[in-house]
Amino acid sequence: MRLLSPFNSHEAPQAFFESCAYLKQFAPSTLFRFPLIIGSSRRELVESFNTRTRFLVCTLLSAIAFATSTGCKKDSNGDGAQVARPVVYCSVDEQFAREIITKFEAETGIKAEVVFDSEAGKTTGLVNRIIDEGKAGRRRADVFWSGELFNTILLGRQGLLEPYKPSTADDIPERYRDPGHHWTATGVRGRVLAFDPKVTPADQVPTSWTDLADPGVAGRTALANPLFGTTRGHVAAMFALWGSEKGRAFLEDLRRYEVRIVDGNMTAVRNILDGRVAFAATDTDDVWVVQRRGASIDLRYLDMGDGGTLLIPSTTALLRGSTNPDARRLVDFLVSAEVERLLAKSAWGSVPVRPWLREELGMEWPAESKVDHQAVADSMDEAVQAVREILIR
Amino acid sequence: MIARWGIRLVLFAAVLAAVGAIVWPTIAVIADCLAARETANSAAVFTGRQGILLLKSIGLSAGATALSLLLAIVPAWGLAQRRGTTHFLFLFCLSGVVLCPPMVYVFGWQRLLPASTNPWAMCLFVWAAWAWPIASLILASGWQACQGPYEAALLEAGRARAIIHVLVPNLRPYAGVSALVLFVMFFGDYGVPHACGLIVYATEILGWAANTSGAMETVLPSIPATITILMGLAAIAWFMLAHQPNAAGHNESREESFGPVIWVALALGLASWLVPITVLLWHAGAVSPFGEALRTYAFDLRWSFGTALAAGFLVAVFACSTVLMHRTRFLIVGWSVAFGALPAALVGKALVMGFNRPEMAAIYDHAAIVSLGYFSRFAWLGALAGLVMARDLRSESAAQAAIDGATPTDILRFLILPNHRRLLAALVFMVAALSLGEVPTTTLIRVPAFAPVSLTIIEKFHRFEDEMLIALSMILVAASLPAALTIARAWGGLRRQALR
Repeated sequence: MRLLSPFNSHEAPQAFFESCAYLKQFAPSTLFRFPLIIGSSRRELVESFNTRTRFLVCTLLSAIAFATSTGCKKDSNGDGAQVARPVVYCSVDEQFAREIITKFEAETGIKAEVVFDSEAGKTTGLVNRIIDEGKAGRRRADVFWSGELFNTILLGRQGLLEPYKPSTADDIPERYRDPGHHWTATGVRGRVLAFDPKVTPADQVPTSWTDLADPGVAGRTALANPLFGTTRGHVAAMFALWGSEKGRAFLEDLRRYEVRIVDGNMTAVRNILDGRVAFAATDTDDVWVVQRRGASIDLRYLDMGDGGTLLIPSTTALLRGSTNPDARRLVDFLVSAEVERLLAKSAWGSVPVRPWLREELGMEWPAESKVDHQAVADSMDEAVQAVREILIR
Repeated sequence: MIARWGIRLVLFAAVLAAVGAIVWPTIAVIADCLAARETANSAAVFTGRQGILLLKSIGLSAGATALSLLLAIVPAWGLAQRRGTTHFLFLFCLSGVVLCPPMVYVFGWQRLLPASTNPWAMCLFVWAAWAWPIASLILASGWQACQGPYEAALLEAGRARAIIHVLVPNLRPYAGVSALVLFVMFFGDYGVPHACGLIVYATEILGWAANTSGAMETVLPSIPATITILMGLAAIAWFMLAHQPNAAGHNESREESFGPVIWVALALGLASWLVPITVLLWHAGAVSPFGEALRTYAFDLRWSFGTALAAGFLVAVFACSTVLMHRTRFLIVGWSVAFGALPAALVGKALVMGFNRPEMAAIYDHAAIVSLGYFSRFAWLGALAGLVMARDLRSESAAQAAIDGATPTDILRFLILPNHRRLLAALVFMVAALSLGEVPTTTLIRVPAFAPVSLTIIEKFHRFEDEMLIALSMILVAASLPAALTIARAWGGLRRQALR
């Protein structure tokens, strides 16, 4: 049903006239009277129509031109064949992702179309979109470029990802590659506690995530809604590492001591800047972005209980059923060291998973929790259910 | 003959759009809920947290509605009386305020007011400062309609008694319509509360809609709000029917000297409009971000404006098509109003359920779905305009035209459309402006073809990209100026001699 999509905007009116001329052969006189007149010569049209009618026709044609000018856009490849543009669902922040996609387009000449996530849904919103489209028996996107890992694992388990081994991922450690080649992970961000060093001295900042459940801390902490985004994966990691009982008790304490639930990591950080809270559980990039703007804010990597914090890599995956060769080239590009370097240098500030690149950039690998990524994905449903029953009710 | 068929075709297209954007998604959502009722998540039912958010949202929307109406009284008086250059300037100012998405004003006021300002107060204030011109315009039309009886009353009683016994009873239905329109707009708004750092009911439902698969988990938490809002709407509709205005005729407004009234009104308009925009411009610092915004987002801006204007046109044509409906008019009007009163995220979800199918891919993957989404959200404005226009079908002129052989289409074309072209122009721009600031539905139905400007602005706000945020906001302000000028010229009756 992509009848309309192949036309570009300048071709649309012409295509419509041609369609009318074609229909003219078969049309019963009254049913197709209007299109038949449109299909007449321009001179006849001008003579027979008064101003108001011409306005109507123009409106109609504009609507049709509009209707045929977007959709799944196609470009010519080197052989002159029409190839659909790869479509990317992207939950890496727009300001960084747009720059990288533009670079890809400049280097390869391939145009890509991107749907970014929104603060309301973050990664989970795009994941549900992929699931919904999969359930409906169709696929709109070719590539899923996610700012986190655990939802990508779940998509792979649901059979919504296409196995593909990127040619640029050989130097990525195995922990950050799916054995079945459903996804490839790159630069990690850490889950951290943000605070204003001018307001809260470093010695008053908690050192482990369990400290958040303290009566003196929870009430002064902003936490993004754990049903969405990286906070969702973070809570699932707590359940995976601590077990169900301790995880639920933690959530109950957060509720009892009135942790402030906000609708996104950035909103949590904004709460610190506005002086409404002392701490915000967030991702490293949210702190880097604000720090670069000169705000007084700092972060601390908190201990998950096993000596390290949760590090969440970005992931790139090809979606099930995508046969677009340009989409594969895009995946190769997105997992390349070049992109990992760009993201590391940007305010996104992810730490490369490639050891040699970290060395080159002089970046340190934070102490990482040993929690198993697959176990976190296993715990996701239980954690989300617990959040709904305890925290968001 | 050709023109008549052309008009019918266009009107039919609008009805088709209404079926596609309102009726079909409703059916799709109900079907999906029935299919999923066994597997629905038990946590998705209406929770205490959502109940509190619902109450807060209703209170916030009601408070902003009351404040808007309060602010609207003096300007409405001025609007109803004045003509000429001052009137034109005032209308230009009013249109300028309304035709810019309200979240733009939040960014301005936030930079002016202290950071410690209560976010609820900020939200209430920004909404009221943006929306009072809408109430003013509606109240002013009521004021004009009852001017005759009011002046007659003045001959026999004092001003106070004339106001209490004639003006107030006649203005009540217009105040009711204003309250209805404003409340529904505030209740469905996501951008302003979000920018103020508030979680309201619209935020919560969007979260559910974006983060769950299927419609059931969005529908269940939406039911209490939908019932509450529909009951409120029904109460207002009943009140309006029970208090039909007594004034029969429409009185031409006269040139009167109202002294400080018009200047107070003008000052209010300028304060609501120019203060936040000037503050934003002041904080812009440099010109370069404007160029960068235009370079980076030219394509997205073009398509954002295109889809919003297309939705505006569609709503205007829908308004015309409802005029020609007879038995089905109240059904389709009621349906569109009920759809407009739904949480915006549920509207988006319904569209996804309706069009996310292989056979509908040509629409679902296309920018047209965004226009359809805006149409779903704001068709109720067209339906209300249609009701206003349909009153002309019962006029003496229409009856005479029918006797002379005019068909309903002819009456619409030659009688009703010329009389209401100003209303329709305002409707197109109003819907376009609301669409440009729409977030919940847009979030759920966005397409790969372009990034809607409302979502880009929200993203810039989150990422503290102030320069780009201000640049994009100012581009929206600049785009609203020609529309404001058009409306001011059309409604203000700008006369050449007034300018000389």
